[in-house]
Amino acid sequence: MKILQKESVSVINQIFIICFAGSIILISFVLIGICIGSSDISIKSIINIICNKEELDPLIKTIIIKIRLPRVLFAIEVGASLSLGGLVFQALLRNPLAEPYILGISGGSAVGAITGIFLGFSRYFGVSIMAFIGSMMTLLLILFISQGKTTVKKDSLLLSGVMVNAFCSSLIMFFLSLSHDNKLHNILFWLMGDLSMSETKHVLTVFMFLTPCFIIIFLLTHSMNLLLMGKEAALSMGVNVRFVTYVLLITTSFMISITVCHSGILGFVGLVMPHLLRLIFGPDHRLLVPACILGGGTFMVLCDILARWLPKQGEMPVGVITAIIGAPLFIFLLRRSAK
Amino acid sequence: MTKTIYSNLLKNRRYVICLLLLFFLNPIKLHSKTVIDETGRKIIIPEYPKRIISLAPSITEIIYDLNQEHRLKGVTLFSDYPPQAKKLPVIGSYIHLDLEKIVSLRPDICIGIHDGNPKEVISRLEKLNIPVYLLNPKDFNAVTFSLNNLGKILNCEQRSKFLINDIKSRVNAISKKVEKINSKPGIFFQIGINPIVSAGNSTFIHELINMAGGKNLAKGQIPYPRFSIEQVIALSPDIIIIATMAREGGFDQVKAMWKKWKNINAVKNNMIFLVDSNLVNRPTYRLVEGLETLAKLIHPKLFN
Amino acid sequence: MISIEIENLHYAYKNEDVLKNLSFNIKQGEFFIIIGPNGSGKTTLLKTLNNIITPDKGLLKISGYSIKSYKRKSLSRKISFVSQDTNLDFPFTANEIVMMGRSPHLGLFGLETDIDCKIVENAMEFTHVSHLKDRLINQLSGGERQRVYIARAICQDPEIILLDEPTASLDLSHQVLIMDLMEKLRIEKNITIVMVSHDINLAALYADRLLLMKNGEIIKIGKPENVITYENLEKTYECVIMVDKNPLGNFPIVIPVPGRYLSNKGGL
Repeated sequence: MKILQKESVSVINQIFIICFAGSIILISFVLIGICIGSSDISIKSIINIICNKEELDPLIKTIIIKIRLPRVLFAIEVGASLSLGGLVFQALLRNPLAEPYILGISGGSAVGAITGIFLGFSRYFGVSIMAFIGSMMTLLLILFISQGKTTVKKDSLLLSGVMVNAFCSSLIMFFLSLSHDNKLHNILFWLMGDLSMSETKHVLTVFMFLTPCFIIIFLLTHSMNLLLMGKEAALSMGVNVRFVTYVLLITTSFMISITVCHSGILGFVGLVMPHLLRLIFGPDHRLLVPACILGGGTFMVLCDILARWLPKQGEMPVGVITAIIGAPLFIFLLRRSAK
Repeated sequence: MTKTIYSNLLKNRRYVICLLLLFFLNPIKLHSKTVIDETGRKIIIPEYPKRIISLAPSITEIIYDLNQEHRLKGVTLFSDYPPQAKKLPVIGSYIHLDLEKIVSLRPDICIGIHDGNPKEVISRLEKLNIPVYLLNPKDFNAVTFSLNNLGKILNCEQRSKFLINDIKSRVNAISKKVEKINSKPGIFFQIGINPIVSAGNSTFIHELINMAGGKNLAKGQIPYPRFSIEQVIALSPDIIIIATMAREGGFDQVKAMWKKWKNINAVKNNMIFLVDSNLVNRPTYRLVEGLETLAKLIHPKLFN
Repeated sequence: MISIEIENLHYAYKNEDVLKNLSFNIKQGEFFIIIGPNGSGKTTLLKTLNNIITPDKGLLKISGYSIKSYKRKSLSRKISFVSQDTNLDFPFTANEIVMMGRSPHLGLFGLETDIDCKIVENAMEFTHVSHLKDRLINQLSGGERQRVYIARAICQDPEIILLDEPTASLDLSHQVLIMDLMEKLRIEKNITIVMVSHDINLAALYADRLLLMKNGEIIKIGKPENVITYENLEKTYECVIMVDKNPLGNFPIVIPVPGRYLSNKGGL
């Protein structure tokens, strides 16, 4: 079930179509996103602000531009980064169950963040930096364990990632048992994932780090296609497997760590979006990478909208929404591919 | 009449012009003041804050106690005392504040708690030019300290002084009677059911027990230490006091659980009691009520 | 012209010598088949020819230049590799798989031109898989998949094609079909075919020269009738074997002897 037939449309044209249509859909969701919030603001006011007309009430401008917009933009960054991370790991590990946290990133960053919370740091910088250090350390550990003669062994990567995550889970349980009310809340919120702490400057920082990662991954999309054929086939077709594997591994882990250290652990996006997009656009990574960036971002904005719109008061944790939508969606995709 | 005023103004126009200039060029200086909050930060707040937002249930209580609830425009979740507070707009929970809601209520001051409210939200509020006054309630005395400070910034010093004096006299009444006691009964104050959690040194509960003439058996460095049943039996408390938390209910079940261990003094003498946790948890005026309640439980002969 | 030159090739894996000081040449356009029992190092040897495995010691030259002097991509323009059947979980069409064979000649994004499309079309016609081009690779049968992979290998426009037991899981008709395709490539385009095979009889029918290996060493290298003798084979496979002449021509045919024909003393 491919929407675009390879015969008639060349790859470049397909990429352009995806980028164009994806951007339009994304922007529409962004506009919906800034219309939803805990204070009632009329759509007319929002249109006025977008068109840069004089708004009678500067408070409304503040709420839209300094509170709602950064949050929606951050949601795009998180969704794009996690979806792309899932896609790359699925290709690298040649495993459709791979997702961005599979190499221990969730465990490592959670342990780092909780350590930061225990030490009394506030979310920025302290806790974020601790989370980042935690995930990078687990990455190094896993790379060290999985050293092969020519390149990393993918089975070792997977297994060591699972073990590290399991070990970190028990560490997290231990920390949770030690903490009481105040810190407990902070830890739980971090673990559940939270988009509400995003300020413009964080959005920009994350963007600065994510953009080179997106570019590097996009440049390696053809090699990713070839990697799917197996290490030997890829080598035979001219791919420098060792180099590509390391670059993709490190770039993607870095990208996911930067995201997670700001947003906490948001699940399902990285697992479900690549599969969904593969169903629509096929397995060619040259199309999937832009699709994941735009599609993942859109999905996250949608989940954020629902998280703020559904409850009568306050907001639901976004991680709950991604799970509620993601899990049934994944089951549906599974059944569909089984046919 | 107006003619006289007008002619007066014209005569003194130099002064009038100066006053007008001062008025328009320095609006901040005339209508605001610089204060230092309880964490030592310097903040600029309006001379007379008209729209206050409370960032913790205890602060909501204090504002009602100070009779300033007409200026209160937003409260956090679980601001349940007094009951009227439940009708005010909710701005999220103590840990997870709703920034947008707060901003939309146009506060001219927010009052929060250091180490309680998340630092990020406080700094974001300040970046949006909303001053945040932070309280730092560490011990019982901090309550009177906060009442004093809030009285000053909310322009109700008369009322705050009245409350402070009331607290002081009630505390004095208790401490005088308690001074004369020779033996202090051992108290096990249970705030957690599963696991069993008590209160250590840096808590209000510990202070209140001491002030009420008891001995806190859970004293120590850990603020909320855990106990196994064996450990409590070994301590053999004279009185077991259980604080209700709405989420854990079932006082009778807990009492029945303790009743199984008949060698504990408290069980032998049927000294197992229930206390409203909000009376001993929140750094508010009601803490003195909590103190009185504990005193009556610990030394019933003295206080009844 | 010498296509592949090997001198003192040595490779050890986990403290065990897999290839022991091998030296031989392969000429351009030869049909060269490596045979031997399991564990003799056949597949390892094949993979060193493509630098998938890097030998510990020894000289390996491709078209006169050391293999180490080739960059990965330029080597892939010279040599292509067809491994034993691997099943893919990802839904690529046969056409897309074959198109990947053009990668060594394409740029960073692998953007294909019309010429590349034509080459792919021709390759698929050559291996009789044109009718499968829009089918998903994981829905094809073993034989169809092998032919798609061979078409991919052809698209690389190589001078040498390496094949690792390409007929292992195929039925008779497909086995012959693939061997015929290789012969055709050899004749039409002068491509060197280096194949690892477990089927000695099939190898004898097609090979220009055979390499008989055991325990990482060369037992015999040469024309099929010289290599396939009962002495060589019995020494290598350690069982009783009869060698006869194939009715099709001057090719040896190998007949393994079942136990019931052997007396207690051994021999017939």
